[in-house]
Amino acid sequence: MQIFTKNTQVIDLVETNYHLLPVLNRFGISLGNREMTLGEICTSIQVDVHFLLAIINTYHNEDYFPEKELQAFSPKLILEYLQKTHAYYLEYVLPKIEQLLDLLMKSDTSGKHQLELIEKFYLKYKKELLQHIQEEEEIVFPYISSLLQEGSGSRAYTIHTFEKEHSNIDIKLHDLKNLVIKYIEPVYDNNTCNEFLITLLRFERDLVDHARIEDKILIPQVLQLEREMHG
Amino acid sequence: MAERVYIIYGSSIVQLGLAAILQRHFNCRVRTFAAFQDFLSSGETIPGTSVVITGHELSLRSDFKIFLSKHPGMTAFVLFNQAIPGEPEAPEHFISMDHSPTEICDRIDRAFSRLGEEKQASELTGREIEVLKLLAMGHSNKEIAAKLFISAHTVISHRKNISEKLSIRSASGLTVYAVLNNYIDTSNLDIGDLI
Repeated sequence: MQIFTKNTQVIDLVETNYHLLPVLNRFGISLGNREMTLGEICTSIQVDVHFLLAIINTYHNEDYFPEKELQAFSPKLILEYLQKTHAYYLEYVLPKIEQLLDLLMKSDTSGKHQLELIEKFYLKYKKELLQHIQEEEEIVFPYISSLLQEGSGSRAYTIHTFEKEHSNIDIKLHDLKNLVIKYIEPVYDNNTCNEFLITLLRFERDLVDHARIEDKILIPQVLQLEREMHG
Repeated sequence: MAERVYIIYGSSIVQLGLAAILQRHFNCRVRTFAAFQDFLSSGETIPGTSVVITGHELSLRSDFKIFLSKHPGMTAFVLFNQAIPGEPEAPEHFISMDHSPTEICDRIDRAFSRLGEEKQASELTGREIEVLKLLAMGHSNKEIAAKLFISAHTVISHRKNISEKLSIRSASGLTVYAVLNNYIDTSNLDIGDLI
């Protein structure tokens, strides 16, 4: 298992796992940094390097647990990061999926309308995903913020309520992909379909890693806060 | 081949060694856990073909057996830290630390090619199609049970098999499948409402 450190350069990071590119962007890191290390880049743009490392290592390695780094930064950073991730989904990934699905439907000249069913299913999925994101932003994140302002955490809600909410939505994305792979007649442009599927697969993976960051970094920190607050 | 491999074993040297061997051979995700409880709380109970490798003690535990019976896509292998008792007649899903890496991978391969054959041969049965149709029309498990004069438990078991065969798990996804295959007449229906 490769662990990235503050001496890692962006080029090594990208060669090891190019899925980390948008993750870097969420921290305000772009390319063109010459020989600078992650540590140097973070100093220059005033990003907490421990936090960056905790996120990219957890994202890259399924079995990595950022115990050491956990103490080193504030949950506020995580909230900011998660909000940026949500924005990336809403502003980039979903529009891209929709654009590709639209192209795919236009490439179908069979008149059979099978892909229209896929579009209906996608819209249903999207509706649930948006609802979930909205819940996090309007209930879960404000709850955590209130815990951080000492003493004002509400006892009515605890972070337990939040755990394992992801699974139903993930199942639909999984189904969307499988329906196209297994059951839709291939009366469309193959290259467009491949690109559509690759986008779905990447998104699926990104969501798994996103959930892991919530489970391994955010929830333990919040549990700790709740213990401190309620004894 | 399996989508995932899980190793539940106390010793981390064994976990890592076995994971390295299997990862190289099968090119799939291998996850390791020290205890059954860790595995359960990881949420890694996704249906689909997977292999779970455990020590002998865990393989005999009733909570583990119950877990397996609820996850038909999961095949369990038992890893012995010595020669397998009763070789060569011992069950095929026994592997031993005495085995060479090739032998271990072969045994897992064989179990899977058999599973694959069973899976390919299986299309939906007549009863499963009836359940699927009602499900696609938006009926609940309870309603389906009443209409088909079977127990809700049986409906759930049918649903599990349907999902296993089709690789589609959500009710909306199954509805799309039913419409694609003309199992339901949609001429007077708004499909958007059903999905």
